[in-house]
Formats: sequence, structure tokens, C-alpha cells
Amino acid sequence: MWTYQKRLEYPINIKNPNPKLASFIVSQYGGPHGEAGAALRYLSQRFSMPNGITKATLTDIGTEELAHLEMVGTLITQLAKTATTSEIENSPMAPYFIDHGKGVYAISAGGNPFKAETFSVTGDPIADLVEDLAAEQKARATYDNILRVSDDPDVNDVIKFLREREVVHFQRFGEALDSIQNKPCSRNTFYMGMKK
Amino acid sequence: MNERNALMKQIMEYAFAAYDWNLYLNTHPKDRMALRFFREMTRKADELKKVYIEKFGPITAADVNSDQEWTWINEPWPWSV
Repeated sequence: MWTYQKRLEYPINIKNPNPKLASFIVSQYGGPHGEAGAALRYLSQRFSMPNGITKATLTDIGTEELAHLEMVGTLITQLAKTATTSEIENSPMAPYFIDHGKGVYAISAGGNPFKAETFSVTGDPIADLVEDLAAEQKARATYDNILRVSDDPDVNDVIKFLREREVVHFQRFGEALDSIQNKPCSRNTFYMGMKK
Repeated sequence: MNERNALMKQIMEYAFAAYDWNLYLNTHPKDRMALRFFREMTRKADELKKVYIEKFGPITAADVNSDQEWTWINEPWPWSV
């Protein structure tokens, strides 16, 4: 089970309102490579994992993704908080604002609400962990795209932290995958550069 | 029920009682009797958790008390006991 800690994983103090950026960053809340999907993906896949390494890795990273969901929600809140209605009206946040105001809703930058179709659970540990490796790279690429369109140093500092976590998770998932396929009895192993 | 599961069941009882008082206190923050119950249930859960961790291993990763080995990854996980 879980208990909540009243703190962020990394500090966030945004000084300047920016509704346009809020409407982009919301994609990492409920978009196709976002933190909601990441948390649900790992916390669901862990039930069919075969060893302690993979169970712990998915549990802990899935839990950290919930903390990232909170961070992305904090970014959206702080970016929208002091924006005036006319600033919002003349920004790409306008359509979002009509349905959600300054609230935080799980939706992509393109306006598609969160869908479980953005991730998979196969019950096959190798298939799931290989998906997880790709998922971390897709999230990393999305954070790169956000960095390309953002020039707010307060936002970029936080986005760079989140981006770096994707890189660390990719590494840990790779090691978790190794723990279940580098075994004398492992079958159905297809992994780049690996000798059987 | 083995000793481990029996102890965990007690922890679950006290921890759940504490949490339910937590919910009640959110909307009744000045109820001193509820506050006393909350603290009592929390204290009992914490005491039992200490015993459990010592005997059977960590409940959170921060509970790992070995300087030899990372016992967090050990079985059983809650969905497989």
C-alpha cells in the first residue's frame, strides 16, 4: 500500500505565468508518453514479474512516476496561476481553459484525454520490460521537445530533472531485463548483441 | 496462520484504524478525542512494524537494516503471500 509525503521530489518555484507552456506540458500529465501512463504501466506490469529485482524495480519506478505526476501538475498550476484571462484567451491554452479552467486534467497537448491504450500489459515479463525501455525513451524525447519550446529557466530546470530520471529509469529497466534473460535456462531470448 | 502473517495482520489493523481516524480528522481537525485515538493507533502500528522489520525484513525500502545486502527485493511481495 501507499502513504503520501507532503513534499515534491524536486523543488518547483515558477515566477512567470505562461499559459502556452502549461498547455504543452500538460501532455506529460495525461498524454501518450506522460507520467499517468508510466505509473499505471509499471504498477500494473509488476504483478506478472518473476523475480525480486523486476518486482522491486517496477514498484519503485511506478511509485516515482506518481511523484512525477505531482510535479507536472505543480508546473501546470504554477504556470497558469497568475495568468490573466486575456493572456489565456490569446494563448494555445484557450480551448483547455474552456473545459478545465486552471485545473489539472489528464489530457495530451493535442487535446486527447488520457487513454490506457497508450500502454500495454502482456503478462510476459520480457515483452513488458522491453516496452518499458521504449517508454522511458519516448518520455525523454517528449521532455526534449518541451525544452525546445521553453525559454523559462525555472521551468527548464525542472524539466531537465524529469528528463534525467527517464535516462536513469531506462538504465535500471535494462538491468532488470538482464536479470531475467541472462540465465542458463532462459528461453525465448531475443536481445540485441546477446549471445546464447 | 504463521507468525509473520499474524504480525502483519495486526499491523494492518492498527495502521488502518489510524488511517481511518486520519480521514475523520481531516474534516474534524479539532476533535481531541479522535486525535488521541489517531496517535494511539499510529504508535501501536509503529511498535509492531519495528518488531516485524527486525524479524522478517523491510516494509519500506528505508527500513532495510543490513549492511551486507539489499533485502528490499526479497520475497514475499504483498500480491504473492
